[in-house]
Amino acid sequence: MFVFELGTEALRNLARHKLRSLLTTLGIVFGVASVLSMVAIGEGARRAILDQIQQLGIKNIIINARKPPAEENVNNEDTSSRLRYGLTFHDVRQIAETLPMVEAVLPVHDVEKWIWFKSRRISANVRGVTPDYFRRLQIIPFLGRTLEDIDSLERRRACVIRARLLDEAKYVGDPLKLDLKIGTEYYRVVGVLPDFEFQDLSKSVLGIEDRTMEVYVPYESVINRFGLDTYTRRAGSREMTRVELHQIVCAIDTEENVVHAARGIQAILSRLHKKKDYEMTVPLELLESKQKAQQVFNIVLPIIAGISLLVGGIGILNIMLASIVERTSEIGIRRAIGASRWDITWQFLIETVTLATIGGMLGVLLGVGSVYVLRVTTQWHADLTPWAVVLSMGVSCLTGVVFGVYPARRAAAMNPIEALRHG
Amino acid sequence: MVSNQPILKLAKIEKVYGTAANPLPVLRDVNLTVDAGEYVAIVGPSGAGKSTLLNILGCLDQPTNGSYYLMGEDVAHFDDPRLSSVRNTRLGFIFQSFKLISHLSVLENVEMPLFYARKPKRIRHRRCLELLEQVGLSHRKSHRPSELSGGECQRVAIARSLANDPAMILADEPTGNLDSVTSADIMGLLGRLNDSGRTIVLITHDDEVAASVPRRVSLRDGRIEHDTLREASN
Repeated sequence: MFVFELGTEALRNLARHKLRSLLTTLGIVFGVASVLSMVAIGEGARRAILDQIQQLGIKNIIINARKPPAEENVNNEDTSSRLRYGLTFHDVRQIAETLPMVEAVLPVHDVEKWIWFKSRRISANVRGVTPDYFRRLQIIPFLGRTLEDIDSLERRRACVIRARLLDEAKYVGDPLKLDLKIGTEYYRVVGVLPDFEFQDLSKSVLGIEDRTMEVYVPYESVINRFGLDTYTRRAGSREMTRVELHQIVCAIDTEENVVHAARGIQAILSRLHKKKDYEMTVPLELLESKQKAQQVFNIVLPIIAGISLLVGGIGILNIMLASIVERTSEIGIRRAIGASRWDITWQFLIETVTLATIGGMLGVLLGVGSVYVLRVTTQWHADLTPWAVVLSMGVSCLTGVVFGVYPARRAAAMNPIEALRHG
Repeated sequence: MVSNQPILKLAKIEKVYGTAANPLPVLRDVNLTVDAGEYVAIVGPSGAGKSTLLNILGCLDQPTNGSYYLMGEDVAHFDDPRLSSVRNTRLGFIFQSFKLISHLSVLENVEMPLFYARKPKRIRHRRCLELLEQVGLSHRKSHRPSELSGGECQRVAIARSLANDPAMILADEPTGNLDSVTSADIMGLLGRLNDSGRTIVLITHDDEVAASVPRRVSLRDGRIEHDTLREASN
């Protein structure tokens, strides 16, 4: 009760000098606001990236074929002008047979053919995949179905597309009645998948690409129908490229084994490929390196927060010391009519804590406001977590205690006789 | 308010300022007894030790040697919380320059001793209205001290000194800052308080003021020179 009344008293006292109180606590206001928005931005970015790493599949290892640089690309074994690179069926077999922790090896073969919808040409990647691919990567269609074993076995001309493709084709009507012409053949759409877009930030951080313009067709069907060679006509010359597989996705049994498996795969591939015509992505390693980067943030941020609260606290300390000198006479009167040293200590401590807490509240408001503005005006993900708000309020309150103790003790230590003589 | 015990009893009070090598005695061997209901004026030229004596009586300062019995308790060597509590509940202060807190209203100023006595707000409020009624300032309760005249301020201070129904009121030159008419007014108020049984110890260097007080203790060079009781008058 006593403390509560001292609180009201403190509020009234602060309200007497509104501008002064505001200026005094400004350090804390800006400190809290900036830390809060930094946390929000950091948290938002972290979560966005983590989500997307999760999407790649934490237990997967992805190997992409990569065209080697031009001067190296003549393969000595093959005397024809045919360019060979990339992953092979042999790689798949080797990996599957050598490494027991690899549960599944999913081959992907891309087809470089034009896609037509009526007379409209759509530029999209055609990926030949096995039905397992959808299961392992947890790709779930929102319309129709994914490719199934029967599609592969019967070499059906079925395809699953990304939703964006429909927009691109300007197709209205039931997507499941749509026939797309891939190269020279018609494929029936059996399922539509949600678009899967990465943010620019994570694209640059993770080195991954969007999966929007994609058409999935049964792997067996495309290899059977289009073969493995691609002819490219250029002015005056003809180029033939042979890529057996463009991508291999290895699904590992447990998370603990991912790193071992990655090493094993690396060893197998480096033995089988003289040129480095492939590239391995391990989502788990990306996640771990991201978490390491986060650790730096976790160390730096409290330091920044600490410095800004230190500066804010010193501002409060300074004004409280001046205020005590100004109110010497009041302290003398209070002591004379029966306030003990503790009463005086409490009075000033509570005043400082109130000031700091108000600063914290204003800082939270400012921080929440700026996070909101950031979210509306930019594409940044900023997540304002409740614990950050609670923590910053708590810390500013604590700042009030830490920097209020000294002035309050000083006020209490005043000699009442001298204080009474003052002013 | 009459009891067998004296309200205060000073025994061989000494107060020495300065350093051990260069002591500066201010009070030497002061013995004084004040009974309940008495009205005492302590007079003396400046430098006689009046203020020091008042500070000791008011438990704001402690004597170097000697005992100070306040209502039978030796308060000379109490610690701060107990001294504060004594000041709060057994003593009431009236100062020359009123010593009201300027940013608080009249009511809140009067309330303050009750606040430090941890009295609940409702009781404080009722008691304060009573006290303001008593000093004739009910109509000024929400004013600031700066909006009042000197005499009114001193009456607020008197109301404040009475808040916790103290055993003794200590007045330090209560009329020092007032003109003669308001001085008489304030002295009249103190006289009436004494008539109703309140013990008052007043310090002054003004003979005219001292003349209206029944008992007169004169102090010179830190010693009590005379202690005279004037018969009759009121």
